[in-house]
Amino acid sequence: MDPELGFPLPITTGEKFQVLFVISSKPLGELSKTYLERPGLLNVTVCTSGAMAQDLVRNTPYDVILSDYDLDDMDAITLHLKLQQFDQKKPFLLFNITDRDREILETFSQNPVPNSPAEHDVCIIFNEQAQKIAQSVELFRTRNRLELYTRHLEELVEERTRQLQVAQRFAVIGELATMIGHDMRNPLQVITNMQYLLEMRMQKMSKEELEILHRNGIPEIFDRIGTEIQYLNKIISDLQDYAREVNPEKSRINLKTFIEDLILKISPPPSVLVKIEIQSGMIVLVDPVLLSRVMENLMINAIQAMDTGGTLTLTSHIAEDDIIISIRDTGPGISAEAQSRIFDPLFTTKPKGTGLGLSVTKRLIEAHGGKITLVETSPAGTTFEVSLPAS
Amino acid sequence: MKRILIVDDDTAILDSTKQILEFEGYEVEIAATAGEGLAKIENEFFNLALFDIKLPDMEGTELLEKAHKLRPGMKKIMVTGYASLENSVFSLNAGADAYIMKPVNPRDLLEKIKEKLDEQEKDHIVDGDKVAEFLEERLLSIR
Repeated sequence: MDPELGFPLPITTGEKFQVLFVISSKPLGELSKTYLERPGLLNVTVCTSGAMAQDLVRNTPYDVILSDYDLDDMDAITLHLKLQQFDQKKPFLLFNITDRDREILETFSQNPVPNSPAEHDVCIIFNEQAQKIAQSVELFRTRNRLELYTRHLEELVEERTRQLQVAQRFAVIGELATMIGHDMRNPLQVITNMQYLLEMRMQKMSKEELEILHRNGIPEIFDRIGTEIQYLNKIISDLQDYAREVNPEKSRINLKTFIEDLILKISPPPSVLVKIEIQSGMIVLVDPVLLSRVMENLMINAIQAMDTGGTLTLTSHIAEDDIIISIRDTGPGISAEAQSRIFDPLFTTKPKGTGLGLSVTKRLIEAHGGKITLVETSPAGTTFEVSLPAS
Repeated sequence: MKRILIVDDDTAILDSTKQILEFEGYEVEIAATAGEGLAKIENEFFNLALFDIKLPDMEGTELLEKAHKLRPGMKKIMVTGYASLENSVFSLNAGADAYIMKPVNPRDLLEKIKEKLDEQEKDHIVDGDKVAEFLEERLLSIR
């Protein structure tokens, strides 16, 4: 077998094919072994019954099975069918010689005189048989190789087609993202501005005026609008992140304080305990904008996975030239079906997710020559690992 | 009172940003085209200007270059929806002092504006110091 492709190797020079010869006549069998092996192409094992042949084939990888038609316990066709039943897809040849040749062999087997004209005839008969056998093995192997090549090619085409479809899908999402990002930006900016003004104006209101608003539940309604605006903003920035070209600009940062600042910004709920197991004073050379987007996305995901509380653990170490950060939550884990799709754009398990967070994260990381892996997920929690080149 | 000019082709953006800045105590002028903006820059004084990157009559980056020639001391902030590196690098080279992305949180915008205005004040102090230093040197050399 070719170790890389799994194809049967082409015939190597000097290779001897392993032949099982099934023939019920013992003297003819022995004679055949001697003379078939003489041209140096074959190694012949002889057996005298179909039943024995089946046992032998089960345990030994023969290249070819040669069988006399009439066996004591069955005929060659029955044997062939039986061998096929246990998936013996080896070439099966009939020991097909004329009655005259068979007579010559039988006569010679009873009185084998070396260097006689009779031996000469025997040699010719077996030489021809040996050639036939060798050819059939070669043909069989070539056909097998071709079949495997074809299958491999088909798989390759299928895989490439799938990759193309995915790339196309991503391209469409990218275009759409640019378009939506562009058209939604301005109205959203105005709404954001107005909401800010609303807050400012309310701060300046007199106590009596504010009381009227509160009595009518107006501030709550505005708060709701504010929350939704934030959500819309998040969608837009995800979309823009997705569509934007990524150009890393590295600088030196203190990883621990960087992460601590980010956590302050995210402000996890009190039910989530945050453990930072990062060496203090660890300085890394990365793109800070990238790292904050990536860590923010991953930490928010982790926190959202623990809606009833839990522990978020951040650890980090340097491996060769890479900085490796792992983010572990004690949430319920990612389902088997979701695992293969979590990095696909637009895939989400959250009722209010855009399905862009993780795919953007992955895209950003990869654009910086790093990688992200889902290291482990179980009902006890999930660990993601981000590795970024730090030099 | 610090004077700010906003150039954007979206009137709703102009109006709402103006209100926010005025609420903070700035004096605000608006312009819906680059041409209008440049005319105001030429004829009036502004401490700072906000330029949208896409304008109907010229690219925001072109407006930036022209404004920078007219008023190098005026702080200029580019506002855009899609940050591409070329845009930002070009803008910074062409004299922009900052670069912000829409949608921008009004608080962040105000902070950025304040930061730039503070810088400007410091620049003035430094300029003043330089003049004093220069005069002192001249005086010394005359003696």
